[in-house]
Amino acid sequence: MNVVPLLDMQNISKRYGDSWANRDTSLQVLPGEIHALVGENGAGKSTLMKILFGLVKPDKGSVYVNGKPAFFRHPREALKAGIGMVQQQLLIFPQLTCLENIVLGCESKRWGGLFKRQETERQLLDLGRLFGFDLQLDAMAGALPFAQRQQIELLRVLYRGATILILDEPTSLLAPPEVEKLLSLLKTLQAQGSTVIFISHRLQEVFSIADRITILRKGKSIGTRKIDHTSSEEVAALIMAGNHPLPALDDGGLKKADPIQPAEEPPQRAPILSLQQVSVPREEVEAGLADFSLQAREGEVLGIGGVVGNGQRVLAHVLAGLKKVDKGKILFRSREITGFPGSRLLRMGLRWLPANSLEEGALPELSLWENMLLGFQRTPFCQSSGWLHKTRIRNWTEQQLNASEVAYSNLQQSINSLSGGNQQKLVLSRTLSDRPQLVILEQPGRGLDIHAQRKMHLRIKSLNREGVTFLVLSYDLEELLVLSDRIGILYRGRLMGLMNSAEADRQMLGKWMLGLPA
Amino acid sequence: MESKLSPLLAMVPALMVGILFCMILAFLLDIESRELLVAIWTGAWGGANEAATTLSKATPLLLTGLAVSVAYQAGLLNIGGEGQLTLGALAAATFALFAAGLPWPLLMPLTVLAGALVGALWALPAIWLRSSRGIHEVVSTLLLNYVAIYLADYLVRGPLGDGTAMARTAEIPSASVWPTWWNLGTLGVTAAPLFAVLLSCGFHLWRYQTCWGYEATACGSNPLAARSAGIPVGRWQTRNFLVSGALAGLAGALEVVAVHHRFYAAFSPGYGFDGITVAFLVNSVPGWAWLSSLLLASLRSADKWLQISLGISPNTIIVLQAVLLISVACQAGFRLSHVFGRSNLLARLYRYSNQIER
Repeated sequence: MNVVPLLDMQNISKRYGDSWANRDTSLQVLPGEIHALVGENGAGKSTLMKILFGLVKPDKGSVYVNGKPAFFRHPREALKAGIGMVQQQLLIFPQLTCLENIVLGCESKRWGGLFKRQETERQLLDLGRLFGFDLQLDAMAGALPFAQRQQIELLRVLYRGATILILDEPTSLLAPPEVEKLLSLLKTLQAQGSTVIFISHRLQEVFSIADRITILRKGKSIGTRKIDHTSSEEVAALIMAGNHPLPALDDGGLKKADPIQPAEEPPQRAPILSLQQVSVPREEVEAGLADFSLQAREGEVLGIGGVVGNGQRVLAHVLAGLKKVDKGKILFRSREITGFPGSRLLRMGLRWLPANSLEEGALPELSLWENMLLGFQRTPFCQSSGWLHKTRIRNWTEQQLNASEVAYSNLQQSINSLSGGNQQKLVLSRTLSDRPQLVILEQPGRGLDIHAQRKMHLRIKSLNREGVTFLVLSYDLEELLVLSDRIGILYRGRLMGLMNSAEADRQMLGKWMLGLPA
Repeated sequence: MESKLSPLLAMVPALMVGILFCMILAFLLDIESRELLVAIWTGAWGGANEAATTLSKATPLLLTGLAVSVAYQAGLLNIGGEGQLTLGALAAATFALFAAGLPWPLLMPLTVLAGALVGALWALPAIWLRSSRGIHEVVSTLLLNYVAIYLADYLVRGPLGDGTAMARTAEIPSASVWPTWWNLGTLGVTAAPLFAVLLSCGFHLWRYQTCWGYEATACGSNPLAARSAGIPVGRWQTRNFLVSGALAGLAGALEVVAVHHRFYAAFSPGYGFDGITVAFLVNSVPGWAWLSSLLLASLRSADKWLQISLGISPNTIIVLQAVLLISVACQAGFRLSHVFGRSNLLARLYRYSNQIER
């Protein structure tokens, strides 16, 4: 059975500086299939798709669409050929309505330039009904939750007539029920004749809807398999093969030795952090906190999950001393710290790793040791009477970087010369150093490949055993389930509930994430 | 911070472009380009008098360059050097005349301090507007320049003037004048250039060796990250900006006490604006500003000799300075400080595409 592949990418190579994002990679996609592209972070999946979509120019290689050579120099050309891409970061205009967001750039106009609004509305409603979208066209895009904004992006490419859809990690920021919805939407699209290429690192999802799967590793294509000819274990092994075996997270001693108490707090364990009826106003797209109460026990790893936009960022900012509360109190070891500035909290042992650890935690253009110093510049170790102890600082930086396995040539080099993942490792290592008391981690695993994530989780667990308390805020439920002792879900600034992760009920968590009561 | 030599590497392309400009100019004027460059050198350093003039011109340039550099450390652009300098000069002259009875150990430092203080005060509205309303300091400082220049002009023709029709104050008392230390030819050099150099060394040490200098640099590099580490970004930006104004005011004050011994309206041939070139020619590193200030001072000193020996209009120097400034500005995109390895342009492209990844 020799079907002409709909898309044929041959020997694509793309190099950034010294490293190859794609090296001689080939991919064939058959018409009407759902093709999954899997691999670790940095394996080259996004780059390959960006090359297909015309966002990136490859150094070598060729692309064929329907057997004919096609080379897209701009997404405009790719869209004309029927290829549309939905990226991980949604690119929508929050001040415009859904309708405007969808058609911006290719509005159908009457002569004279007038926008055919009614006709467009009708078209979009039909399109929506066809595929099962439930979008309100005149709603302000900025006010919508993430899942609906994703639908805007999908509709955008469908409206432009895309029959080949590329989705880059579409489910990473969705709650479990929304994931189901998206997957069934993709199946409907396939039934209507579209072809879908779907980048993901979540194998259960891939195995539930894909027809074929291609594995990339370090920029090379390892192979393509039909879904029913393989298993998720085999694929996972192929993704990792050649790397050092992943240390298991669950070998004896890593999970806490003493059994976790059931949901009610034991009176003898004093809370290290206590938020009491804290209210904070909303910040643009992000919900504030509404009468939020939470207690973190000493020595635990408390995970707070939720869909993006429901208050995690605001919670983090409040705990870092960046945002003032309208009402309520925050106590650290029974001492009130409401309204304390960030520098004081740092000195008390409260650390914070921001969500975009690079945009919010790194000093671009400055050197490695200067980045490591951030937050510690006034400690007695690093200075006396104001003069910096440069040798001490440099040695300490070297220690930290070697422990985190960050490759560098010279401590004086600019942090920008490190790869994104290494930069994140530096920032993380800085946050976790020097015996913190309570560490607030926002989206710690984001942007890291599986190895780095696993190492980080191990480090967190080991620090936790030494007595450091962690508060992990993440949109990734899987990460929370692996790391935390207890999980709580934030919805619209309220704590929907708390449960022990050992007995976690995904359905219940999913309901909480969508605001449905227990 | 890149390598220690990066400020010099930043200067090299700009100089090359400047020399290229001189060569083109020489070609158009039908003279040897070597002659042109030699004329510039002779005009600036050819004799003792010329050297003294160049040194004295370098002082205000070094200070205004420092002013721009200190503000830029915290991420702000102080374009108001000219106005701060003017009002600082006027304040110094007026204070010296007003407090004429004081003995020189008090009068000399206080006069100069008065200039610095007024310079800082003139920078205050701009930084206040920025912190409270987010108004970009480039706009406010730029416009305040004109307010300052015209204000000073009005004051010196009126209440603060010396009564004559020449827009100037009376001569300041001798107790506030900085004496000549070193006689070069028929002119002399005061302690002013040395003072400015020591000040720039002091700032250099503060910036790179102390935890406070580090905090201010962090604010300029990434205010979000600095804030997340508990550094009070707004406070550092205000402090650096006010000090920047003070330095420019100091430049003006020194011109009064060490060079002119009174305030003349429009005495500054653009020292405030040249400070921007001085700072960015050496990548805003305070310790190297002496080099770029000497370079620009040399150019300024040479303009008369160019006119006499080669018949070239002094405005040529202004154009040459503009060429230097433009090439420094262009370097923001093409920094050759990563000379061994990929150029910064490629690295930025890589970073840009990485941002799309995330």
